[in-house]
Amino acid sequence: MTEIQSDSLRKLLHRILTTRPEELGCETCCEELGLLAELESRGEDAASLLPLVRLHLENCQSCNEEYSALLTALKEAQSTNPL
Amino acid sequence: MILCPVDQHTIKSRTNQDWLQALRKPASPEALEELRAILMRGLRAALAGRGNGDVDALAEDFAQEALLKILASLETFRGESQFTTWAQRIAIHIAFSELRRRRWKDVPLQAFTQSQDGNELTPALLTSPNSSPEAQVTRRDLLRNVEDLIFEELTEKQRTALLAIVQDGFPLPVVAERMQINPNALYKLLHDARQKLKQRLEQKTGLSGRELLAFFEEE
Repeated sequence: MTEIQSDSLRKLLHRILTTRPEELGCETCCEELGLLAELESRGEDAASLLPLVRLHLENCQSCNEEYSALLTALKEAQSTNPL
Repeated sequence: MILCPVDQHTIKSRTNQDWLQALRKPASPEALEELRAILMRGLRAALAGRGNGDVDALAEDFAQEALLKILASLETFRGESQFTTWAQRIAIHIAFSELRRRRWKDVPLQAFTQSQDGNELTPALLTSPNSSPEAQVTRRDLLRNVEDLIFEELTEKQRTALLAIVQDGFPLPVVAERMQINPNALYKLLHDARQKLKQRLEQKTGLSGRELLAFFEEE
């Protein structure tokens, strides 16, 4: 059995207090990552167009990691095969 | 699957419809190889510098697995992005899911217990030199309330998952796999837990979540 650490409680408190009534799950968010990546690559205001996806990425390290990787992959594709 | 080598500079510019048409059965070997080359390039870039070993071998394996998944999922492509972006997203999801699984496979989920009354909640972060003693006490009380509520209001499953992610740094999909539920269902379980804790904190303190947040984060 492990005790909860103080810095974990503080992180958790922030996460609790920033909870919104509507949030996306990981799989739903994942389906939108391609569109978000293309919008951001074109310099469009993706955060206001897909606010729930952006919110999910701020709160989910795994999805955020995959999103960053997708941006890297798309950048690589554009550098070798510009649109 | 029959593939033929392709020079990346010969990759055609295809529309989404072209891709779908070329990859539906019987899939064009040329289109398959072009897509594999695109996935390989993206995966190599995405995996580079992450300390995952032989990036080329990993990219090869994941690209192959992704190709099979993409071919099986063509009818789910909604056309909201370019086809190749959608395909890259699937490849990256496959790669990162597997790498997470490998990294965490030997780490057990822990059960948590409530801390004994004592000095656990007196870290430096609560005692900013700019904080008044009253503010420090209130912050400490707030954290104690959160801890109490975690044990009073949450199910064991909610508590274990929430703390595994926040304290131990487990990726949510790994926790979901251990608990044998899908990641969306786990996200919902945790969202319900956070909403419940937020409501109870607001009731206990008579302050809104926004007010509590502002108070806690002010220095």
